Amino acid sequence: MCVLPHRAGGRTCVQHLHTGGATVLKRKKLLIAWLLILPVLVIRLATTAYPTLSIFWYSLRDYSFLLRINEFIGLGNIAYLVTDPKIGNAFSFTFVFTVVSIGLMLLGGIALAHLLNVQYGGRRFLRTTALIPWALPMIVAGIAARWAFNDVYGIVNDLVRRFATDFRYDWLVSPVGAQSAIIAVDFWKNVSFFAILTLAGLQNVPSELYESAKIDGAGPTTLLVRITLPHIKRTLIIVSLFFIIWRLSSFDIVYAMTRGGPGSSTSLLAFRMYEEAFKNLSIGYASSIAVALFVIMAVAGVVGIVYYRRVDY
Amino acid sequence: MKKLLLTLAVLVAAAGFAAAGAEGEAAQAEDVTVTMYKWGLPAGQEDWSELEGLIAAATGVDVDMIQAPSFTDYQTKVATLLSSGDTSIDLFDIDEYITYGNILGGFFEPLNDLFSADDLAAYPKTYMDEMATYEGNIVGVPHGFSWFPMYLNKRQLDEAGLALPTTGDDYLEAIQALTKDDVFGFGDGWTKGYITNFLQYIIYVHGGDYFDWENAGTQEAIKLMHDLINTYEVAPRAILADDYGALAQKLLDGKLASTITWDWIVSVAVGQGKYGSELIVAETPKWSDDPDSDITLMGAWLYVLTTASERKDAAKKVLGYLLSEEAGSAVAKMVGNAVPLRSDSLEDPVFNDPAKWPAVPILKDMNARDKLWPRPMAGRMSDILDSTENSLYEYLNQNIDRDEAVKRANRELDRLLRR
Repeated sequence: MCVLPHRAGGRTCVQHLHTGGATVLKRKKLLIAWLLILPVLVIRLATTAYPTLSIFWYSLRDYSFLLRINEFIGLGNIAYLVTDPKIGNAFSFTFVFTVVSIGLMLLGGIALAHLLNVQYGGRRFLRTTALIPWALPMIVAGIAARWAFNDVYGIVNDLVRRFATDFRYDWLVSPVGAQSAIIAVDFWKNVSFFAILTLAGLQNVPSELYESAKIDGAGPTTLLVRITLPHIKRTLIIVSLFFIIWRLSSFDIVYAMTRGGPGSSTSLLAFRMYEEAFKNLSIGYASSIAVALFVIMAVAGVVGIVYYRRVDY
Repeated sequence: MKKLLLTLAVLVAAAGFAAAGAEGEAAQAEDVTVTMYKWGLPAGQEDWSELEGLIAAATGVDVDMIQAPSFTDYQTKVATLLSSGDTSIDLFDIDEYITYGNILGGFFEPLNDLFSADDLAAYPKTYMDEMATYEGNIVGVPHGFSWFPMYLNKRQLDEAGLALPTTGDDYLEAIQALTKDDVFGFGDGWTKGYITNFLQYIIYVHGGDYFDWENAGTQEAIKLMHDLINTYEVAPRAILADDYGALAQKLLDGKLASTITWDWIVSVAVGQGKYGSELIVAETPKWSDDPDSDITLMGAWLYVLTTASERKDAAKKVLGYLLSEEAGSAVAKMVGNAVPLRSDSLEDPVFNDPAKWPAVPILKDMNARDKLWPRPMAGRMSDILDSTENSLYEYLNQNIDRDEAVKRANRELDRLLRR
């Protein structure tokens, strides 16, 4: 008898069961599988693929809500983008912000991860409290930081004045001061999360390696350089990759602290994109910045993944 | 049988839908609700039901006032709703930047027929001409009076034996005399997005043109801003990073002896019991003999009716009430620290209580003399602000000289204004 509920036209279906039947079953399962994931696919296409493709399309258009323009201009936006001094400043600070932040995160994150890894009383308390800055919404931390760096009322200058009584520095007035303040706040807020992720890597390093190295006379520096770092390298690459992408798409810290000022010295690319899209309502130009940011992130991602695959551990 | 049952079911359903539709149309014809998208709910107030009730009682029209969740993307939402031809919102309550940004698109219904001669006379003429009128048509009902007085620390002024400055020269002398120890004679909030307010004021009083930085008056104005920080050293460098929150705090703490800015700090000083004893306001100084430049800034918000509205008649009834003397006074009282824009609403005894509104007599006097002018506006104001402020910061921070700042600002203005 036929196992599958299909019409065999009075003929035996044994042969069909062994060949065509299996194919039909496979196809049916496949069809059901596709039907089951279809809603998710539709939602994904509507919420991710469509907006992404739209951004590429809008980047080729002079599209402005304010000017009521929506014209195809090809690479006109990109051509303007490469000559726009505001984008030049934003690109430059985005690069500095990302590189310096990641450098500091690596140094501070590894150090803090070690501190959270060694055995001592109160370690659990420190592990919990270390994450408090990270748990704060950036917009709240940014507004608080704006006051913290205030020349008269700020806690930063107040702390420095306890050691240098005549100290006066208007952090958010000079470009270098404002940029340093933003990087410092970003570091203060996120280093603990970097450290917690690094800690997960540290806990996977076999303790026997340290013990045998110590028997061989290895000191703390040798242990760090020869054992710890090589073993957490893959973790560090992946964590750094995520942190680089988050830094590249950072917007809220600048929005809350400096609004890109003084001038446009602390304007990040993502903040510039926000300004063009939501303040100047230049959707076409903002889309071209988004495309540029997409390309930069894609390059960073590919480089990170290639490097990750080359690491032995 | 099955077919028969199916046919009957379809007929019953169709009849039901038709009845419901007819009922809906009838209800729509009888009960029109006008919608307004609005910002600025006072602290502690949950919704605009009080104002909705006043409007319904006066006009018989129900209004649904939709409070915007935040001001951050208010402009974007308004522009998107207007440019998409959306009909769900009939009225918007918008500030001058948003108004001017969208006025050029022809999205606002002319409202000339709503204003009687008495109404027009009650509103500041400069504001109606410069801000509420476009191509001969009144396109908005302005409300809520903001203005730019001069603030002085009375205690410090008395201690220095100085009289209230009435001219620009007097003012510069006073703020130099008041700068000592850890007190600066002048301060303001000149962080990004804020600095343009003072810039526009100081350009006005020097007879300049905000949209032309080659103008001698404009150059004189930006030079003065530069000199306040770098030459006279009467303003702290931190002025470039301070917002209005920091300004108010420093002013009330006596760390700044003076400023020229929006009037809202008056209500803060009154609330803290510092008005009169510490902080006072006065008419802004006269910077030249030219009567045209003897002015200060004013601001307001505008109710506008969209051309896409499907309930224009009802919406106009609402606006007709909102522009009235009664509504002007009622709305200002509701908002708490606002004063009405109409001169007759301003006569309401509530706003003449010196304990709560100490600056109103000065405002009324300046208003009667047409000394209040709206800020200069253009279509791409956000972009213009951003570009001109960048050049100004470079100059104020002494990274570039004035000629270079002027060149850069004008180049951006040429591009943005498509000159």
